[in-house]
Amino acid sequence: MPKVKIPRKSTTIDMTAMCDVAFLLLTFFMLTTKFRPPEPMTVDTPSSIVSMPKPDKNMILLTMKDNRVFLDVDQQQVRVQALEMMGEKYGVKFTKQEEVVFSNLGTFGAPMANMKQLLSAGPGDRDALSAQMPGVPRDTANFDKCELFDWILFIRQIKQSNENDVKIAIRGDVKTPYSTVKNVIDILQKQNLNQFSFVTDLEAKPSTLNK
Amino acid sequence: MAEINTGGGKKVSTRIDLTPMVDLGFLLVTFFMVTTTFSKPNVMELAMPDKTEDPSKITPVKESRAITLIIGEKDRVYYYHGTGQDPENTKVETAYFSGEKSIRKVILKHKADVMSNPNLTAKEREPIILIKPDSKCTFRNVVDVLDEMKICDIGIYAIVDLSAPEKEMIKNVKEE
Repeated sequence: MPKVKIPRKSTTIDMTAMCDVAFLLLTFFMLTTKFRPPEPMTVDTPSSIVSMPKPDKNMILLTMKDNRVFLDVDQQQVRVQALEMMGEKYGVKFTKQEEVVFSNLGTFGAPMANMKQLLSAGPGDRDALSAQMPGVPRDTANFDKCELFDWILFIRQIKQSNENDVKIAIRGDVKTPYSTVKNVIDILQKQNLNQFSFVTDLEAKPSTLNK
Repeated sequence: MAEINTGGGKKVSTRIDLTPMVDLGFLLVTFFMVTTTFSKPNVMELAMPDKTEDPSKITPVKESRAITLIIGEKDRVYYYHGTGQDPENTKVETAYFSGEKSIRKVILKHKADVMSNPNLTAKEREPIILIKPDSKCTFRNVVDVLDEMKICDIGIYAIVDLSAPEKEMIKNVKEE
């Protein structure tokens, strides 16, 4: 019987196309990745079934853990202006250098008395120092001297002059006592801010209700 | 002029093996995929009752429509029907976040009761829930109770301060 000759084929394939795909994906992920900004403390947020994504812009984020309240706001320009206004009220003068540091600081919880110390610290020590801060001081008995009240008020004034409406998001650790939450809510309500939102993780809706 | 000897004119292939480069590419892709934060946080909106409003303009709540939930310590919720106008004759009961005596069952039962209550007009057949967190309860419990409002589809609810007689009421429940 005559044999059928099968020509041997090479097992090596052209890798160029695969390489192209790999690097295309790599570029995509590199450009879209946003690393999580450093936080002075880890916060475990409670979960809920609501699925409304948190807006990124024009947002004052209040982070609560234990008895401390930390504050964060977007837009560097707004941060610098708010710092200047706070410095004026509490008698602290900041240099240009310190203002730049503050505009990139992210979440902070320093009282005005310690703010200069925090901003003049070296970049290596700042994170550790920021974590030790007692939080933005709040005094619900005397709103005139309540730093948290003033921060929120000044930021709102600045944002409003830029014709931006600011929203308040409260991000609390699961173990935060309600007394802290109530304190924050009282401060917001004193400014007639009756609408705000809680930051939560997504959780599945219980299936028992679909009956 | 001297010519450069190219080695007998033998052509060297310009193709190189791209396999290691592909390996490296996918390794980095995997790294960036893993580090990308997929879960964007969500927000739960909350509207507090306006404190500046004139109290005399607020319409009184019909006792039979309302249920009061007091969020206490150690994942407990104390509840009673009505708004606590008569603390002496109000029966306070305890519920939990899961299990047989879960707060969801209490809310759903109350909702069903209100919706089928013959003493109420059709317009009034909607439950009202007052949430009163104790100063020692955790933020998790507050969010959990607010979440129950969403789960049970309760339209009217509000966070109200805990009053002094109510603090006494939950103290007595604890002793039982």
